[in-house]
Amino acid sequence: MYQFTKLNLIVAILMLPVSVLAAMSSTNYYIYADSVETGGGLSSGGAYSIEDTIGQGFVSESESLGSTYKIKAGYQAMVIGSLSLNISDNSIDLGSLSTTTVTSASTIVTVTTDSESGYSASIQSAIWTGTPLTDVVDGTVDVGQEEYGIAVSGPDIPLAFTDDRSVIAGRVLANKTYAATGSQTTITFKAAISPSTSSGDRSQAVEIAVSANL
Amino acid sequence: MLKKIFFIITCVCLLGIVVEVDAFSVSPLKQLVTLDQGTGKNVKIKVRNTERETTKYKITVIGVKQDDQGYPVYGVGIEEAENWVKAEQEVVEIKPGKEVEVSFKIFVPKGTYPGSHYVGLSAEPVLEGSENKNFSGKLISLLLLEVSGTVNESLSVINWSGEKEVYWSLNEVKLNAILDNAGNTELPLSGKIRLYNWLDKKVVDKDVYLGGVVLPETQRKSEVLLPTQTGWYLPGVYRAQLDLVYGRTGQKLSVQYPFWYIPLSWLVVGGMLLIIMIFIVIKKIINKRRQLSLRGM
Repeated sequence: MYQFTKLNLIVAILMLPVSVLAAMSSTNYYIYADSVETGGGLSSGGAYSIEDTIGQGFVSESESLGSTYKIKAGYQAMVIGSLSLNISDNSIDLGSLSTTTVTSASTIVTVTTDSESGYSASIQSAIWTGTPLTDVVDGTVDVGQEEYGIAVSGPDIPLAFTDDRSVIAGRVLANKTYAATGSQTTITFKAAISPSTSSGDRSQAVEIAVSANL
Repeated sequence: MLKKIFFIITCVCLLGIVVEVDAFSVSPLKQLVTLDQGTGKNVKIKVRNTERETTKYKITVIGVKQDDQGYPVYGVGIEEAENWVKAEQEVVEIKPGKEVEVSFKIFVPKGTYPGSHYVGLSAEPVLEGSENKNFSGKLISLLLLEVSGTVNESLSVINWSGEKEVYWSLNEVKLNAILDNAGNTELPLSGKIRLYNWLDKKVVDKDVYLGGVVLPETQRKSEVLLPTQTGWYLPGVYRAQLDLVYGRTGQKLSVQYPFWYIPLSWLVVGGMLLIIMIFIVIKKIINKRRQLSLRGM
């Protein structure tokens, strides 16, 4: 029993330098990003190489005076991490609108990120084809009135977004201040018409954008 | 046997769910590059296709600003630096489970003033049968472009006030702050709320979250609530002080808002004392009149 433990210990000690050496090989060594600069240069050693940048340095304390300071060119930094997006349905069809009901259709936006500052999803553009429907302004898309808007639900919706809102660029749909794993936000499009609403096809192309928080 | 089949079906269903999430991803989350005016550089982002089929992705550069709540706002033609960055490929085709690196060329024109600018390096799936697809999404890798030179950190408080001038309870105190970044660089920000009574004794000292960095030429609106108070506090004039530390040079800024705090319990006790005093005075007057009338008789 004693010999077996001793043998295990020796094997473990022998394994340590092996794993370190393995990490130095080109197949296991991971350089996330390189930088190509006119003032940089190619450095190589063994199986791998990297282009570097000259002039790294951001704020020179000696040049900082009160609330002003000098930024020097050449500095680069990166927040490594990823952001992923899934949209359950890209075709939102409200069908024929009616004066007696509010028509709605939903899609689910799923975001995963390891961003420490969290993420933000908002409408980047909303472009109508045909005569636009009137944006909802009173917080509810009501039956018998020409109104169009969205409602959102999920754990990441902004605090104040608990009613129906207009579909406009800049509208924040979801925000989280820490990492998210499969965070789902349901976006429901709602429309209603009045007897005076003119007939005809209408469509709107909505594009959302998702990024880490600033 | 049935159990095995059930197990396999469950696994397939779970896999289906896992595969459906993460349709595509981008990395890194954010890059910072500082350049001299009249110089250029290349940056890269990685786009990964986690769909089950080969997909084309449209690569674009968009402007990034900030709204008054601190949320990013994306758009075309909203930030001059959008024109300084060009994607080297407009469309990339990525096989399932594969990742592709996309390059962007940055060139800061001569004569550009020092300061910071945000742009978004974005990827968006090109949807097949796009005439029926009216809801789409893009992912943005943020690029902070700093143009070298002297930058100025300037933050001012446009408003620091409460909704009332008199509060019955300290738990009702809600203060509104409007900050303005008039400088030419983004400002990291931290703040504390401190509450002093009329004896200049500090009764509250708490960190407040005012949102992330404030971009240049941007205002930030924040609502600050006092932490819940359960203790006993003297009535009188209080001042709520907002202490800010901002920027990379650690500038400090303080603003104050005075208000009256009159707790309801004190108001009730004071009211009762007043009634008793009035009652005593009235009684004394009546007694005096009685005595005078008795003397007159």
